[in-house]
Amino acid sequence: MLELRHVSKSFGQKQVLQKISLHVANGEFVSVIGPSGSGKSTMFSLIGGLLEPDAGEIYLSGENITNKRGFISYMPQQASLFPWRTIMENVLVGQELQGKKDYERAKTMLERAGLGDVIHAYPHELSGGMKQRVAFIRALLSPQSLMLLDEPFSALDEFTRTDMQKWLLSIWEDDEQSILFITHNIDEALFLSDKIIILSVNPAEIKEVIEVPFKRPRDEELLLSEEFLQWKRRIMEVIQF
Amino acid sequence: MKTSLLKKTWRPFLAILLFIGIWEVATRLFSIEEWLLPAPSDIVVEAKSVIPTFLPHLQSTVTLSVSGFLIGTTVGLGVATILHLMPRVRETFFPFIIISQNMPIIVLAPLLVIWFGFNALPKLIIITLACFFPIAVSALGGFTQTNRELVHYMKMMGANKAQLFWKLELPHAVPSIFSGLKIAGTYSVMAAVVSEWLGAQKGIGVFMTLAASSYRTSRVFVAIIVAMIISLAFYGLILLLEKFFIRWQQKGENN
Repeated sequence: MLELRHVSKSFGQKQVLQKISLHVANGEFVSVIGPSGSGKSTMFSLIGGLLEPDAGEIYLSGENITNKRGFISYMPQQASLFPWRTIMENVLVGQELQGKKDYERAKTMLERAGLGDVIHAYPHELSGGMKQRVAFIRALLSPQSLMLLDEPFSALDEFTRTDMQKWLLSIWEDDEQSILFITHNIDEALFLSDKIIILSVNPAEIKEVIEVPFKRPRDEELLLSEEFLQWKRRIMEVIQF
Repeated sequence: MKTSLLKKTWRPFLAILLFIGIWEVATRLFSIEEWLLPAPSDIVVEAKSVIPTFLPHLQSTVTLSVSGFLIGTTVGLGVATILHLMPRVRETFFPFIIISQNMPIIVLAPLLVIWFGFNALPKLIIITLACFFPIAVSALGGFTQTNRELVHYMKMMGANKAQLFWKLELPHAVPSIFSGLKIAGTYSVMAAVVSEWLGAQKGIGVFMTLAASSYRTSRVFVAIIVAMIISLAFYGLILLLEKFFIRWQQKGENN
């Protein structure tokens, strides 16, 4: 699906990414964790085609998409909904940009996501968690098969966040989309992903790639299991060294 | 809703009433000549008798200011769009546009008559010049202040320049375009009256000059008050349109 080959990027003297190589398979959920300032957002801008790498290439389904835009779907940290559009019109933005709108599918998705009552509401009428749901559905409805999620739950409170993670899994597990997910929350990465990529800082290099062994579908119980805590400890050790 | 409106408006309403009252009493108390400063009651009497002959003038001015306003809006939005989409052009011509606004219209008016004669064209040019600037500046401000996060989202999603403009920057600028329209709307009436001073068959400006030259001061006041009413009506109309276009906006919040 997505492949980064030895991608490096620096801004002036400061090297931000050094020889990043990673791979996201079809239908796979991959998380990237690392301390803030580790160049995670730069990585997304490179994949999105907003920046050009100094070295290396980016491939999507075998096609070289280095510095090309429009191949991925994106969910930013802030919901970034258009305040003048209703929820329905908002989730269709991604499709609009690529040409075709599918009202029926959007309606079904919104209903499945528990947003059926607010289809014709405006974003300011929704809570923070609801807005993030809309932003996720918007990314899911976009025709691209890879979604980049940039710390989408970091602005939410702890209770809402756990709900959102469960909700995201329930929606996503029925779907075929691949996800590349940025977070700095270890629990979140472990709970959601198939694979976790741990980055170091200054410049960001891949420290370790961890395959997460938990079966799907996953539920909240997992968060407190012995196995989960062991994996968490393991990741913390990697990050500290 | 109704009671709150009443609560909000009674103070200014009272102030206007007080102002008119003092004016009335003062003109009588100091027995000021009517040709110098007519009492409000004199103006009302004059208005009643003159309105039938005044209507064609009124109609002419309204038509003139509306067409000038529409042309000015089109030009203003067009200029703002071009300057926004072409940064080089913007750097080159923006100072020029600002300088053009510091040229007093009243000085420019006779020149335009020399160049274009006494027909509608110089008048429309004057109104357009008065209207386009507030609209261009407010639209340009709206375009450039587009929410960075939304721009980032659109770019990540692969939006091209045209999509970015039509789907994000333009709708984002609507509230600020409306503040420009409100200013331009009131300017347009003023500019129309001024342009009619230059020479026209009909119009509030013509009516006013005729009345002034024969010292029928009450008539001048009738003209002034009617011009104010037209101006206010424009403002109200634009306000209504604004309510309709930005009904999505949360009350008291501006993002």
